[in-house]
Amino acid sequence: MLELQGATVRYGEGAPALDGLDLTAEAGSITAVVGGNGAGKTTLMRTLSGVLGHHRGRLVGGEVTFEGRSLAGVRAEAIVRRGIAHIPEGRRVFTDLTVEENLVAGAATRRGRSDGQISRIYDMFPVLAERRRQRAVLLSGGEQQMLAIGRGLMSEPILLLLDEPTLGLAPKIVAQIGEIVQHIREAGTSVLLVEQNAAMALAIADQGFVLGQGRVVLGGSAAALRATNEVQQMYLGGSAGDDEQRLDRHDGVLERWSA
Amino acid sequence: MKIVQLLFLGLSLGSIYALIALGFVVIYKGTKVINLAHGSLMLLGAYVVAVVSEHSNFGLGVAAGLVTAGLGAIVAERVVSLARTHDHLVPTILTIGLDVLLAAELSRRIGTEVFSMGDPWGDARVTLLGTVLPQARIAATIVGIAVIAAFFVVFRMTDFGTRMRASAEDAETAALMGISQRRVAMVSWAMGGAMACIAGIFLAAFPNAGLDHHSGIIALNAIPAIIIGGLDSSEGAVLGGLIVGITQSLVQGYADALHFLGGNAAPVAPYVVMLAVLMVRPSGIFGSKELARV
Ligand SMILES: Nc1ncnc2c1ncn2[C@@H]1O[C@H](COP(=O)(O)OP(=O)(O)OP(=O)(O)O)[C@@H](O)[C@H]1O
Ligand SMILES: [Mg+2]
Repeated sequence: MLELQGATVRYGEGAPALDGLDLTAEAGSITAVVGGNGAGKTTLMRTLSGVLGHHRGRLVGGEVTFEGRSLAGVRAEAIVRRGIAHIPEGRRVFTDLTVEENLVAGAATRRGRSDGQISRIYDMFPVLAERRRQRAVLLSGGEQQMLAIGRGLMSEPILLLLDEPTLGLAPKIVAQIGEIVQHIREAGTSVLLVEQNAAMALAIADQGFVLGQGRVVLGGSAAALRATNEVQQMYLGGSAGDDEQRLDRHDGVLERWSA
Repeated sequence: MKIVQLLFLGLSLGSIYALIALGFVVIYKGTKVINLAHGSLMLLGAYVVAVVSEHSNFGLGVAAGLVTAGLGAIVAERVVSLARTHDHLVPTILTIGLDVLLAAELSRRIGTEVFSMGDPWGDARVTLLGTVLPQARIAATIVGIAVIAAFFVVFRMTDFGTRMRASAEDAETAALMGISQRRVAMVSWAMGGAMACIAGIFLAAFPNAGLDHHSGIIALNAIPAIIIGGLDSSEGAVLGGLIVGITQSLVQGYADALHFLGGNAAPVAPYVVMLAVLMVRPSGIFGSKELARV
């Protein structure tokens, strides 16, 4: 249902952030996208949701289609109407608004009243129901992430784009978010899940892609990816190592793959 | 009871300034542009009110003025947004260009004439709490408070207002929610223009002489008001407007006692208050801290 062919994106005059990216996501599945810092994961999301312009970015080559229609040059609002919801990196809840107002803001493309959908979100995230009148800035990081997901679901998307939903959260919350993502898929929404936490992402995904320097360096079923030596070493294996070390190793592997 | 009279006059003048300041702030929050053509938009609206009411009636004049100022503001927004840049300073500077154009055209049309607003209050006065007050200023207070209250109801209590506030806080994330930045921009400018038009009507009405080609300049009084209140705060705009109005009224009223300041302290006084506020709170009374760092 989602297909990118040779997608190339530039910010300003710099080197391309996506450099001929090929990727597909199937309806009814969870697709994981993993990769180190600066690999182009967020840029991929922005390309799909039509907000590259907010960062002086442009799709300069290739094709991006969703359900058979091109997304190139389509406005963000129109993309939401077509059924894609993008939950941005860093949660970005509206801090001046209450929890419930955040959900109302997420319902901008709905016709008529949104009460029914709001109560479905509250059923899914009871903690939000308890805090509906509180300003979002007062929520914890985990609660803000739930709110960001709930807000994104207000438009009842066909495809949900999740950018690093577990970033900076405690292991218990990470597990909870994994369950929520599976629940969302079971409820009929396909998910494109960007993560640095490859263990979590590949555990719940059907298929996955490893990104490096704006390209897919490895792709396949999540099970097959979990089994490859490279993914084992880079993301899942033994001593975790600090981020920098992980990044170095990643670059090393990357060269081999893209050669 | 001179002080009561001065305070009331200050309150009414302040509610007029509050309308102008609130328009500035709404436009700023919606599009991050400081609309320096606000005075000319106000003049445009009030001019249309005067011309149309002369040929028909005041009600029709007000309707025509509101529509013209609102549409004029939308056109202004479209023009300045033609500058395809992410630097908000560029559209702000473009508004100066628009202001010059619009002000020149309006002064050409108005010439040396002084227009009456054709309003129903005329130069009537009423006695209230033992002081004599112009009816037009009482109307200004009531209308000003009503419009400001309606504004806050819409912004705080409706889904539409919630989406405007969401976009003001984070335009990109709002776009991801399907909130159209273009529509937010149009609505904020139209509201700002319409509020300026209402303010313009009362600024030209009694006890002032009428509308002349200089009337747009009075909108500059809203600048200390928004700086005092905080550029990105609606509540601040209202409070700032009231502070400026009351300060001017008191300084004017006690001009004799304040003679040592020189003859014409009233127009300057709000700037003194502004400086005092800035020394204590660099981003205004209600302004967010981030703005001070920009
Ligand atoms: N707004 C921007 N302006 C200019 N360059 C950018 C911008 N955003 C990202 N880039 C560049 O594009 C490349 C890809 O960045 P992107 O944010 O997509 O990576 P990412 O995989 O999401 O990284 P992270 O895991 O750190 O979030 C990087 O080289 C980055 O420096
Ligand atoms: Mg990212």
